[in-house]
Amino acid sequence: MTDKKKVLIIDDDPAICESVQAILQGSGFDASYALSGKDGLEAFRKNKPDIVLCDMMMEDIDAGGQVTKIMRRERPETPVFLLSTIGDATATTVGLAEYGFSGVFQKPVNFDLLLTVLGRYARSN
Amino acid sequence: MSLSLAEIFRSQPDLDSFRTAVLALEGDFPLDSDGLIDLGQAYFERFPDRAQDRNAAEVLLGYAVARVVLIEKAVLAVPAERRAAFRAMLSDVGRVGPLIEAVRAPAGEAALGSDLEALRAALDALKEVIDEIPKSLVKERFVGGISNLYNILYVIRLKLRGPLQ
Repeated sequence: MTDKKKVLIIDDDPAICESVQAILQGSGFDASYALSGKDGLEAFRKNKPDIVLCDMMMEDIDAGGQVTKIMRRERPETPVFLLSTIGDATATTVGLAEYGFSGVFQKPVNFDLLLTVLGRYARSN
Repeated sequence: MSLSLAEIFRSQPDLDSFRTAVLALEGDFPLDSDGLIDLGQAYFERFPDRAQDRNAAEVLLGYAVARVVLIEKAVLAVPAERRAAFRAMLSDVGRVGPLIEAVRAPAGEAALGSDLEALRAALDALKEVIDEIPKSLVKERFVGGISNLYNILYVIRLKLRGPLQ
């Protein structure tokens, strides 16, 4: 039995969640998703994912940042990446480090890059 | 003189009728950054956004409106006989598996490969238009809208390479 790494996607757009899930599952990950920061935190606590991909603007404009702060406090060993629709320059000023994000992937996401990064994290953990 | 996308949106009561009206144009509508901004403003007139306790259904509707117009432009890049299949796949990732198998045999791998390249180029051109929109909630809806189309294109590519795991 293969030991697939678990990735939790948190995004309020089900279309995005389903397409990212399809890509990750097609690339050897065990991917699940939640459609709000609140549900994402619940899934994080219940499923204990190895990696989290999180949107910023959900039920509140900074919901992704707020839930990431909590996830990083509860399990600091779990990397949380921001999936962002804001520009790279802006992303550096909205407190990536303050919220505890491990990195940012700009939408539209470069999945060749994302899968490389996730693979690196998966191998190191 | 034909209606702009913003005028079409204002004249239609819901997403389905907006989609029907846009599909009837068969991609024959101007799509520049000013037109997208006007469409976005028409959407926000009806569904204003806010920072806290955002209405998820209205936010999703914004992405859906964006995708309707982006998909109609993008599918012009593929031959007419496969346009409906790609429109359906780009609208719903769940339809990629069955539809790619349905078009694979009659079209052939090489033609589908060319279709994907053409769609990628069309999305890149559309993204350049979106990039011209100043940072705003209108831009956020269009970036969110086109992002999923790139994602689905990646899924189609994976599917063409072999069965998804």
